[in-house]
Amino acid sequence: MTPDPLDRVTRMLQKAVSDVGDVEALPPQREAAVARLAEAVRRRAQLQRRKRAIYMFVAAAAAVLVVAGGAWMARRPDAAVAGGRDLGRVVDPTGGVTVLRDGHSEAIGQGSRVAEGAELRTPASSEARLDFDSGTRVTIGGSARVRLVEQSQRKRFSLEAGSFFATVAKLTAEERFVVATPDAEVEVRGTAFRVTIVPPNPACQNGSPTRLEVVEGVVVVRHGGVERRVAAGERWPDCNETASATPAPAAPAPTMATTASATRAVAPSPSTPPSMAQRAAPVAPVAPVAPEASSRLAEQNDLFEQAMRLKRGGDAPAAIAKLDRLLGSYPGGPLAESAAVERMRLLATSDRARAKVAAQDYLRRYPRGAGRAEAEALVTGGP
Amino acid sequence: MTSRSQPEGRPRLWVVPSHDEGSPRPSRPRLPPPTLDDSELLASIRAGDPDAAAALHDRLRPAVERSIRRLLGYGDRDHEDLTQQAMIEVVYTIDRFRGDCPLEAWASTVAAHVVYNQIRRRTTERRIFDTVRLDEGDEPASLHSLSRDAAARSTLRRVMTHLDAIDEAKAWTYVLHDVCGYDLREVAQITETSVAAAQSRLVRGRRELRERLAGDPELASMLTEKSKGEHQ
Repeated sequence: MTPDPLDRVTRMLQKAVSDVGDVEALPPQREAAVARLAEAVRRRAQLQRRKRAIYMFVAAAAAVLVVAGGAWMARRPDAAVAGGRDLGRVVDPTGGVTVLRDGHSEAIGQGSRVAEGAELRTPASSEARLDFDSGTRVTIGGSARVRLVEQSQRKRFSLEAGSFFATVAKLTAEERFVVATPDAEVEVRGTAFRVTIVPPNPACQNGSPTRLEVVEGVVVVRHGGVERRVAAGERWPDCNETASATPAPAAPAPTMATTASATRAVAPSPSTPPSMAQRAAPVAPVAPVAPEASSRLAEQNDLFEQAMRLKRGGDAPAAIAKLDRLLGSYPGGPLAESAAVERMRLLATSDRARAKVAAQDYLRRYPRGAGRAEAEALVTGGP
Repeated sequence: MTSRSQPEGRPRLWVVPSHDEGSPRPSRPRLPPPTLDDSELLASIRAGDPDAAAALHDRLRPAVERSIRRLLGYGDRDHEDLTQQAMIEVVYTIDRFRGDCPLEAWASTVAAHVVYNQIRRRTTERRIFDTVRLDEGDEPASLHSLSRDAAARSTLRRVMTHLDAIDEAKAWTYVLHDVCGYDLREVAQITETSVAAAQSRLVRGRRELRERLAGDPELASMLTEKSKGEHQ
């Protein structure tokens, strides 16, 4: 067999390179070689230190940019909403508008800032406009009492008398705008609407004093544990309806009865914004609810009302039991979230550990729910 | 010094230092024994301790020297500079040593890389096995054993012409792997390529060289003669 020429060449070359002489011998210029190597060690260490300094400088510069960016963001007009409190500024007030703060009443004028917790009161034939940094505008009619309950990303007003007209700037997913009346809650999503407290009419929505008119967008109104979407051109309650979208509660909501006696319903302010006065939109008929669905809704309403009655009576365990039954039977029903919030509140007064568990469950199910702040406070152990 | 078998009919004189029988052959001074173990040595260098330079030099110089001599031959005119360059390169790339091979193997790879770059730059028209290429009659600058044998040198020069004729990258890969014994990972590191590319070059380089050698009958007879001479 002919040997492979490559193998022979490779072996020859291997032999050629194998004899490298005495590499262990002390080189003649060892001292100089070591000195040069020591210099290389020093220079390498210097380069490493310089690199570290550059990295730290870059990191610090990046941190400064982040901080500066944050400060710049904070100075943006809507940053007050994103980062903290969105204070309303009084614009063009007519005579006699006062603000009640910490039990003290004081007159407010053009440009005054109205903070969370303040209550605005307007005499008859006057109105006050609040412009918020977020772009939301609120006009409070005459003889009104409006309390600014919360003025952060979640805006909450309590309308106890008079009328309240709002043009709400488009809200982000984190923001909410809620107007609470004695017996209802109106929540908006970038819209214009009007809420008024009127004298109760037993023939209309069981005497609810709340009237809602939506000019633009869609508004959600919650009353008696039932939620209803009201679109532009619609009103709530629509007392001209022949068929009701939701069954009447088995018993009038106690809050309504309480409010009817405590609240002086005031007719809509004569100084209604022009757009409202000119509006005469037809009311869209609401589709009737099937009997079976109606009975399920009725049961849910009944359970919720019974729980609330027990709560007001001081029987928290019984109220919790009712809410448990409601949540167990109708976990996805329209009253589920409200029931979860009430249950959480009741547990907070008697069993903090269970309340915390309930709060955690609530946050999981309703991360942007109305009771988020309360739930978070329970979870973190705050007040 | 080693003695070599001489080609038939060609006497050769070897200059050998005289010494008395029984007395120890005088030897050159040796490098000092290591004072730090490898981990201590590496830690000191990484920490920037210049006092560790002597230990590093004495520890790795033999591996570096061996690597350079294999590729360029002993006594090459750039030998000392390349050795120094390679030792400094060891310092600057110390962080790349992961401990997955002996420290000497890593230093040897670094040294081979320095030689590789030196030759590739062609600043002095360097070529691998340069000392072997010396023509007949030239005073050998190298004490490379084969360079003393004219016939062997002639055969080697013939082999070099074939090595020069194939792609340089393939030639380098063949030499580093098959001749010098570096593994594929080391070859990839030396030639600044991937292991897969190095493997591909090796396979193709061997094939091309084999074809060229097979097509050179004169070389085949030279190899046969050489083989006969070694067995005598």
